[in-house]
Amino acid sequence: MRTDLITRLNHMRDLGPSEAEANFNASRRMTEVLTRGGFQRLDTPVIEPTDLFVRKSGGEVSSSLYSFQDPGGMSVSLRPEFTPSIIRWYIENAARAADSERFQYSGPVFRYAGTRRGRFRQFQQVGAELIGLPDSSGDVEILTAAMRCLRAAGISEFTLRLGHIGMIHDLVQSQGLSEQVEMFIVSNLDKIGCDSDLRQRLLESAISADLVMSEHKSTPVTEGLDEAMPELDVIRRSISAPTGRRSAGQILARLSSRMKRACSVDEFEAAVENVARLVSLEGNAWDVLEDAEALLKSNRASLASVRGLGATLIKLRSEGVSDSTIHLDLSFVRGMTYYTGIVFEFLAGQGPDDYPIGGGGRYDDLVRAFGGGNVPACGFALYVEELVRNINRESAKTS
Amino acid sequence: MTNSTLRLALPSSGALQHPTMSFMRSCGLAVSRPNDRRYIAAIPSLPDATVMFQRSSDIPGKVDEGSVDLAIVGKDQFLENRREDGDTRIVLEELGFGRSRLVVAVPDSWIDVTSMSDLADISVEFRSRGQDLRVATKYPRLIGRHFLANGVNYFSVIPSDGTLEVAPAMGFADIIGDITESGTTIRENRLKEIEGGTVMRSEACVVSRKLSESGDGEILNTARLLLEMMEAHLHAGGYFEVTANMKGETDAEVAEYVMKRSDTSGLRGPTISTVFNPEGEKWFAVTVMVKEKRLLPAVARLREIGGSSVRVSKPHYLFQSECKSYARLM
Repeated sequence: MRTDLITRLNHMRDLGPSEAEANFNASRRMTEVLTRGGFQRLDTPVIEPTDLFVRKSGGEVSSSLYSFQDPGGMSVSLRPEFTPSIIRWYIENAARAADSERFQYSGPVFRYAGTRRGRFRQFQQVGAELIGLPDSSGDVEILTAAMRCLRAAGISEFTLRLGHIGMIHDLVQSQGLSEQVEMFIVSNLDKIGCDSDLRQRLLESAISADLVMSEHKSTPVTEGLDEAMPELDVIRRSISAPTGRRSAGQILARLSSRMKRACSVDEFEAAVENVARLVSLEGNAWDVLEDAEALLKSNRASLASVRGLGATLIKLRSEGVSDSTIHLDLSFVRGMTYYTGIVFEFLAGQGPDDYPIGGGGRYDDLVRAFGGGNVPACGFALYVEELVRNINRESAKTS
Repeated sequence: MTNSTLRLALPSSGALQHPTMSFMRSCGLAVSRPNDRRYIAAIPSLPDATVMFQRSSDIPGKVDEGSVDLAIVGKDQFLENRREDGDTRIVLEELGFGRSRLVVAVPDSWIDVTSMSDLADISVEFRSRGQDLRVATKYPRLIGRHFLANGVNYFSVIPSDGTLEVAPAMGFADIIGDITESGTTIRENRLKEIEGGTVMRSEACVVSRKLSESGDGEILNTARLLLEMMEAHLHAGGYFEVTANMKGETDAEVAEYVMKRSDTSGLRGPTISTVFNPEGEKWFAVTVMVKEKRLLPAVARLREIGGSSVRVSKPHYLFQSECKSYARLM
């Protein structure tokens, strides 16, 4: 090998003339569809403050950021997705403009991960955000826009894998637990299968995080309590210096609010069991919906999400989406922690090297979390390279 | 030193220095270093190798850039300091020393913090006051990733080479991410570990740059000898060789007794040889390899079936049919 030759970085790829042309054409066809659908084009910086991406993205995306200090000492990152940038732009520029706003984007995103075969660290996305339209009307518009893009690009066969985080939240909320315990359960859905070992470990980590009170574990609060002294005084004295930049008062305040949030082992296990039953539902959308509604009803949970999803499915049907395209899977949650309603991805192949060709969901709290108003939002992103790979495969099959 | 000499880097200081020298000695690869100020040394039993002493944290970089071929280093240092997409790889894991954990520790007095999710809360609390949660560590890469993967989004890393345990008390950091063997130093400095705060478990390992059959022929040969000795020594560490005398009619009959239980059936089966006894009785010597932890049950079993004069010895090397770590070099 010549030593003076500078080669491409690992897990990056070059697109030669024909691939670049194919990607360009697929992107162009999709952006045309979105433009016709009233989605205005936005272009935001590739580099943003790291804070923008870590605020709500969740561990998987945050820990795969391309972060570095810029020459001025600021912590910046290459965008791992467009949504935070689009929401930032919306808050700065358009927040009071209209009831609902439609934006589209296209460009490269970067994730320092994916050493698996067929995964790259830079990839092209075309996507859309629908801000301000709540419930199933927004969901249907965003789903049908995504499917039109796929067809325009040349993908005729795909599966829509659909989940609903709101439904899981509805069920968990009906269990009478604190918000922290709810968040703990929702963020550990992957450990709530039928594997009893995993569930036991989940319980143990909830106990050691003091989210569940175990009879066998004494908290620092009850150790060495002197009955003659007011409880908080005893604890205050037990907080030995140094406490660093947190005052004893701050520590105590947080401790007491944390104690109130804990539930019992039985409550925790009952909630986990109910959630396990819900997330085990998958398959034909109408059957799953029926079973989910029965489970939610028996727990006296809110039926808002399940009914909303029902309305979405009916509208999709009237838009000509066949039932066989939709695979409802309530265990499906995407990596981002900001989703609040539907989550979805599109699958075109089933092989070991096949990845989703796109995905998205609803995030009604994101605008507020970024400092904007209480505005609902949903969106999707399609992965151009994966799409083109599948288009090539389809055309190879037909020729 | 010629182009065909294998360059082996060993830690020049720190917790791994002396255990590494003992390990080399016990593998039959004793390093001859005239004094501690000499950073180049030899292995008399392996004349085609040169030892270079380096700081642990520098070793992964030296292997990455190709200025050494092989090295012994802690897995923690390797994962923290290696070039992630480079060709450097671990060829032999778990050398049996330098066992430690990379953990997150917070002040004892933070009685409201017991888990990583508490830390995520605290980082938001700091952020709302316009501050960052400051973590002092020698492992910015591993600690930073662990924090982000666990939802701790607002923090700044204070790179530090000194004694980290005092950082919270001195006030230049709020918490630490450090290596610990037993957790004692952490406790003695009024810090505590938290749930989910173990970033990784570490142990000394052998790492190598990618070697090629065409370009590194002689180096590969020396590397094979070195790895053969290490691997066979490590493998032998798990076994005892147990020999007992037993009465019996035929060797086949004795074998049948011995092999009835897995404790005494050896790696591939017992070795049975005749003991010539002046009284004319039929005696046999039975030798089996026994896993270290199963020694006493095996001895008990041999006694139960009439074994006497049970001798136990430790093999120094146990060579397997192939040297697995050698294949990982290329």
